[in-house]
Amino acid sequence: MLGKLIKYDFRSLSRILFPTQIAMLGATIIATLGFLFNVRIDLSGASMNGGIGLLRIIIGFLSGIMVLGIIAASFLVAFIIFQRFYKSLMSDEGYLTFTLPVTTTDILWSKLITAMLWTIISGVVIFICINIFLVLGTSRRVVFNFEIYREISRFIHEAFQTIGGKLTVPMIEFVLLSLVSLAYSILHVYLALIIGGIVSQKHKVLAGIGFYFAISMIVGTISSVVQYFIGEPLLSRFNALEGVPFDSRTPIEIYDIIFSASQPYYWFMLIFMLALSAAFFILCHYLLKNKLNLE
Amino acid sequence: MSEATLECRGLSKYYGLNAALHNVNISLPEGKIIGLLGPNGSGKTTLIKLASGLLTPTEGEILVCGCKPGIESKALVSYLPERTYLPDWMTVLDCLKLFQDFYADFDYERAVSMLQRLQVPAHARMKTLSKGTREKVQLVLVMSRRARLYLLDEPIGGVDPAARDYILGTILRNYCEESTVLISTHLIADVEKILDEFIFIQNGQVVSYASTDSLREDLGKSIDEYFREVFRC
Repeated sequence: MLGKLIKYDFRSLSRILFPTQIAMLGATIIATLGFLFNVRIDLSGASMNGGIGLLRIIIGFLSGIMVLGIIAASFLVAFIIFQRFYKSLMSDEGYLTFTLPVTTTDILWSKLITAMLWTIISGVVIFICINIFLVLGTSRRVVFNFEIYREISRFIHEAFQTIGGKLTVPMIEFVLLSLVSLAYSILHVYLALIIGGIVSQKHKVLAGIGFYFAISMIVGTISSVVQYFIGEPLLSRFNALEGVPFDSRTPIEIYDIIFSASQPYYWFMLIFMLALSAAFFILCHYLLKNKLNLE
Repeated sequence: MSEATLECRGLSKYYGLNAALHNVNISLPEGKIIGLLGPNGSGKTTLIKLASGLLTPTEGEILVCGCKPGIESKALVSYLPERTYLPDWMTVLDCLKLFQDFYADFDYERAVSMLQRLQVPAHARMKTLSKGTREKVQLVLVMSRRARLYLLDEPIGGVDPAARDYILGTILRNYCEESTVLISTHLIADVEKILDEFIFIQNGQVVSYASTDSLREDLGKSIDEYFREVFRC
């Protein structure tokens, strides 16, 4: 049943988000071309009077709007994800969602997984947009500029030559931490919306926003305490690095020292975030199952 | 002995200090069409929502075919809420597919033919349909399941009398021997002819539960007359 829920949740998000992502890519191309146009006009030393000057201003203005649109589109992704969550659980649609023969756990997993998927998709689209600008917008002579990629690949090549396969572990760790913090951020909003929907009769969304900050404050307090008792001692391992004579070490040795010093703190952060996410999930589940009274 | 299709034991639901239902004890057998009748705010919807698992009881318990509300009971219950609950961006066909995906007892062919009879456009989006048509779609979906218990909350409130007859006919036609249909309404005269039994509910408590035949034989009254007597303002 989880698969079916994911199918429907994903579709209800894609219906709105897919066109916005396409629009984002289109806007990026237009803005980049506009930018390029202005750069080339500047370089050509053409007269700024009359028609060309006006055209420059208009194109500059349009490019600016496109950039704003791209930024707005990325906020829209978050907005739509949470709006869909709210609608399908707390509004009239909740009557359907909660009478389907599925468990509340499956409903929550489906909402979390589809939200994470769409955040990742929109991240990829933003990455593509940046690359469109890098390729098309940064060249003064040729149409496509691949110089930056040559630089990046040179850097990666060098890094792998000196440190080699050892880079895979930190890369995996980075992805893992990103995924956990993404789940954490989404569940944070979900929990706030659920509490807001249960506590308030009229201003459910507004109450949800209030609870978002309330939860942040509680988590802030807990994490200060935990940091003080567990985090600080782990972090203090870095102090031991002070006396190390780095000059006389090979890059691999330096890498090993820094990497191993950072490991305890990394795992502490990861487990702490994971524990908070699990707590949010369990709370969401408990509240949906036992406390939600749809009007 | 077969177990009750719906059983309430000491069932209460409070909203803060207000009792929406108070100490309801009732056991509904299989194979009956039962009217859940009472004035506005008497607790009809609360009882139905408790049975469908949308609300959790404050006290007591409610069982559907021996199961507490949960994934098993939801597979047995076909619930029609008193509001439109289908996502407005879906087409009528999307909604049919959704029901087919989630409910093993959904009869797709039957739903399609019922929609054709009611002349509902299958490819129209829910949001473009009138309120009455949306209600028809929901009723078709709910009655196209072979459920053990149908919970119909005000199924005929928003539709015209002609559609009302068709809907009641639909309920009668689709109801099979093991199923129980619980219909909540205040339009008693309209549903009276199809009811086997009726429950009067007032201020969250069951006032009477009897069969329609015994009412006619013992008191010589119709449910409508009896209702006006019991709930005289």
